[in-house]
Amino acid sequence: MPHINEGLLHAQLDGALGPDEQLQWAEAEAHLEVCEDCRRRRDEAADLRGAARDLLAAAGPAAPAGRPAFDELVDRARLRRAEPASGRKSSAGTGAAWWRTPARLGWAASLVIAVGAGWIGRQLVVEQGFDAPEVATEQEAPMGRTGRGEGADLEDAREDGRAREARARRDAAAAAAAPEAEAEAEPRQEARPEDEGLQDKAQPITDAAAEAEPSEFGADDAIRVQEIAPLAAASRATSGARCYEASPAAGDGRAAAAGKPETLRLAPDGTATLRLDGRPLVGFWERTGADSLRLRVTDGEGWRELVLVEAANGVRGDAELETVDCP
Amino acid sequence: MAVDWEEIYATSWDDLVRYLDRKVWDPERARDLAQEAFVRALSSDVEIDNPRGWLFTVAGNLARDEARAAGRRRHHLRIVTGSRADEVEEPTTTEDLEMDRRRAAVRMALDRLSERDREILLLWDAGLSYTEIAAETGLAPGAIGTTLGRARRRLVEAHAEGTEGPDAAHQ
Repeated sequence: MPHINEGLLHAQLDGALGPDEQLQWAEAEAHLEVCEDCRRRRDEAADLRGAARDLLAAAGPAAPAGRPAFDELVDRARLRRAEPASGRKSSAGTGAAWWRTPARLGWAASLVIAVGAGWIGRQLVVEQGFDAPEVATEQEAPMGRTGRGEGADLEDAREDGRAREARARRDAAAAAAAPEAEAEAEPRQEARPEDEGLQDKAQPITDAAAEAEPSEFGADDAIRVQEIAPLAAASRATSGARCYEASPAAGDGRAAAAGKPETLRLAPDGTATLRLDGRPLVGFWERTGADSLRLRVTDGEGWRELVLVEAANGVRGDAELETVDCP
Repeated sequence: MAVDWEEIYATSWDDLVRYLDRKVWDPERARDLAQEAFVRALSSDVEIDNPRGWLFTVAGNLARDEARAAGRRRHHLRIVTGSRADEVEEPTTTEDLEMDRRRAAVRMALDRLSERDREILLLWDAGLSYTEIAAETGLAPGAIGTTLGRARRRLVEAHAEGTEGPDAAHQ
């Protein structure tokens, strides 16, 4: 049997083994009898678990003394319900992961179809629309009782979406005028104008967008699909992508752990492709600091967010990847 | 099926406040946000399938909005006064000082984690099960152990680096 997966060790320590993992653990226990390395790793995992718990506990009292009476909250809720419906949003955050919330998706919506995640795009079109609904917000108002937070999110999302659409159109125009031209606002990228690989790789994705059946969408949505086409062209024409790969040398025996990215390509137009556990994912990246990046990628079912920090020879953070020449 | 919110309130209040406090680093504000999350739950028109998960999701969103607004305020303040915006009242006792120091060290370590690692740690710390954490974050239940294990390691290492110098974590 191979060495025990780190996640299995932690899940067992947490008493959180699922039915399949229970079976795996039965094998793992036998393995522990004969593998000193795994015994050491199990002890280390137990130490880490204890240390993390102690640290978080040391960060302050579990809760400040006193809590309001439950009836008080019920009364406030009753008052809230009596308010005009326009003043609140009852479904805020329901059951959504943080990278699945409308705010997170809004800015990405215009690009989703372009990268071929058609059904998600359709869902967005049908449920969210490309522009978030108008919600009055005040920039500096303290968060009140009327859901200002979501309003701000929608506002941000709408601005992001528009900025991206505008940028996509501008980039497409620039690409048409001068196919070799670098997309602007990317001062850090290494120029690789002859990067044919990128163009080849981008082909299936962008073709999927071009071939998207307008009839699958509503009339308005068909127009949107056409608006996406210049973006697809821009994506093909741009160069200077940066590529990363997981280095076997950087592995520590846990390299095969679930959810480990294997390859990553960041295109200068803000699109990203990622291979995770052998599955391709597509999405977007943005710079969040001088050397920090945020990625949001989807496998067609849900969105994942990765935070990366650029190092001299690659990226660190949610993915430990080495810089490579783009294929 | 009707949700027994009173029972959830009794069993989840402390966990929720603790979770929020680790996000906004202000116990009173955490308490306010927890109340707001419960009031939203109680006044919701929609049926809530997973009440505890729903509460933590809404609370997490509230905390994120709070942090964003606080960031804007801080930025504004810094421009206006040119001074440190995060000045706090002087602690009065040795215990307060010690607690502030510990909180600051843990906060700094948490800040160095990715958003996902931090979220998973805080949800685990608040007592959520792997299933609940998976529902909350969109990760597969089978991936929680791996992610949590990595997050624990990073937290401990970041804390050691912050408190004992950059080489401490590599000893």
